[in-house]
Amino acid sequence: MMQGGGSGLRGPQAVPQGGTIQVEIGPNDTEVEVSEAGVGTPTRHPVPPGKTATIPVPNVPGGTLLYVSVGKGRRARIILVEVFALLR
Amino acid sequence: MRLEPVYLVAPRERAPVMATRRAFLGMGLAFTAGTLVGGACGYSLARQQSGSAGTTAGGDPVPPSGDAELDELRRLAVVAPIQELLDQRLLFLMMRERTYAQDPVLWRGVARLTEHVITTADVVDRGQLARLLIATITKGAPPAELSLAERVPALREIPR
Repeated sequence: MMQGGGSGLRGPQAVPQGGTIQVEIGPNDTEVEVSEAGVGTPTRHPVPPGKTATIPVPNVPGGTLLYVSVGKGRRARIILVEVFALLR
Repeated sequence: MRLEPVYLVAPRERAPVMATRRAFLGMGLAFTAGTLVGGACGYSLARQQSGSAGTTAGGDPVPPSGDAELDELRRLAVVAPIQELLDQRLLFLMMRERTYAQDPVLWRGVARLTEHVITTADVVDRGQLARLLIATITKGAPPAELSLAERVPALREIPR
């Protein structure tokens, strides 16, 4: 299920550990930032504008929430993505 | 003997009229002085307004930081109504930890969100916000005087 419709950033609500996050970004952004909630330091992923980006899920425990954002400062658009553990 | 009428009414004295040139100069000076005083008052008021993020509900002034973005986040944290802070929660929490992790005023906004989500059952996405706040508090370094770590058990009890 996608979230963030119409905001220039769309992506899944949950992703599996070790998987990827597919996000659609608008025409004015060239970079997606991903950070673990509570940690702060984001990783940056360049993306062609108006395209879909495939970003690897960081190596975090199941249940972790990730901020996925485009844009800077108060103009940033953000979605929250939960990482779930795969049953082994 | 014949009485002659004597008119004692002297011609009315004309009110002194200020010379046109002097009046013009006076008006000009008054206008200039008014402009200067008004400008100074307006400038100082504008400086006061723009330099401060406002005051908290308790009347404590929020110290100006010189960074407009941080001042706006501080306003959200301690001055804005709780609903405005809730509406901006993702942006507020993300920017707090990515850009202004050490700012003590922003931690007061985290404390406000924490109390609200614990005490109010009908918060939108309450369970998700509670988990976000748990991550913010346990992985961050909140000021000890806010006692946020003590609120984590109550946050954990909120259903997902």
